[in-house]
Amino acid sequence: MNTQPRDPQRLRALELSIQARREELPADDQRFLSEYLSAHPEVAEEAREMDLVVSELNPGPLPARPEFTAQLQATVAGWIRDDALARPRSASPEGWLAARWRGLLSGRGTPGVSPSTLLLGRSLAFYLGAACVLCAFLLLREPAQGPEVRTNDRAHTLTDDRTQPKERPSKPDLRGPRPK
Amino acid sequence: MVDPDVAAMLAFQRGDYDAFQDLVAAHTDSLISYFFFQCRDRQLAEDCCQDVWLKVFKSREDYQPRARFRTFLFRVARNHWIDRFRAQSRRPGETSLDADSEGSEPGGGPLGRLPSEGDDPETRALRSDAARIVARCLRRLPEEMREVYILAEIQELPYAEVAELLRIPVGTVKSRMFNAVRKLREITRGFDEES
Repeated sequence: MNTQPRDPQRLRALELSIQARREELPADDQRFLSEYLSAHPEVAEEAREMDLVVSELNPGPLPARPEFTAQLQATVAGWIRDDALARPRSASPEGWLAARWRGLLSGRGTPGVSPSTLLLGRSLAFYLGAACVLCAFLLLREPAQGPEVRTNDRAHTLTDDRTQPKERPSKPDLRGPRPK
Repeated sequence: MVDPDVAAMLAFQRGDYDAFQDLVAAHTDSLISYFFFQCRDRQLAEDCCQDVWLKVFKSREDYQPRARFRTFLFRVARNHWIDRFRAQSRRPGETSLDADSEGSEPGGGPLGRLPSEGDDPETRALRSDAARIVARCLRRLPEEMREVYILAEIQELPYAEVAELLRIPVGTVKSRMFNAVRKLREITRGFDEES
């Protein structure tokens, strides 16, 4: 069944008059509507009639029953409780630990990460970093060369007193002359 | 201007449960209305409303602020409504859920075939109030007109948002709205003549 008015101008005017009940029309549409309705009083009358129908058939939002509101609040509180309990295990696809670590790094404070936890985490990260730097420095630095350094390293140059045999006190030859 | 509801949803995404509770408090009436004017069944509307909030709660990680929060919420609600109807219509041996005293209505659309009103005191009270009369009139509209009318007129969404939500051009929203109002005028005239 075709219910459209044959005149497209009239159709446009009626559509706009319904739309104008709820929202502000663009300037062009407003101008067209006022000009058309003033030139066509029968269409203006029809638009008024439609407006009346719509006004009568709008009871506004239906208020929820107080019992339902109370029940919904209790239900929502249950969802929240369950979610808060389950969240550490299923906070994200990467898992709880990854979420917490990301939260520590980004400082965004993912749910459940308190500011004190953030502070503690950052402090630990700082001191661990500092300890690593210190260890690396101690391990990689050049060993100091001193005159009294003793070493078992065979490559180390030994002093003369250890390379030269010690002079022993000469003993008298008691064997006598060799037989000829 | 930033939609404060979008900000609340983003806060909830970051773990602010109070923000979610605020959203529930602010938009539950709208959701109840949306479902009630679709099905005229208060209990079903409340069930659907709770289901929608659960979906929003569970899918918060996927939320992206592309539109106003209300647009997002009604999209979830609409999808839920369609899914619910599909699930119901697939059940074998299901009789028409629309078989109440008003009988079949022209152009009722598939989503109109949902449970009729029960006999609880709340529903009985609704029989005499404006919401029920409006719901009765809306039930006689084709589904696509009823949906546009509920969103644009009762929920007061701008046409552009209705178009975005339903994924149709704004011109189609205007046309459906116009046809819905014309048809409603005929329906109310019929009521006047009956009385």
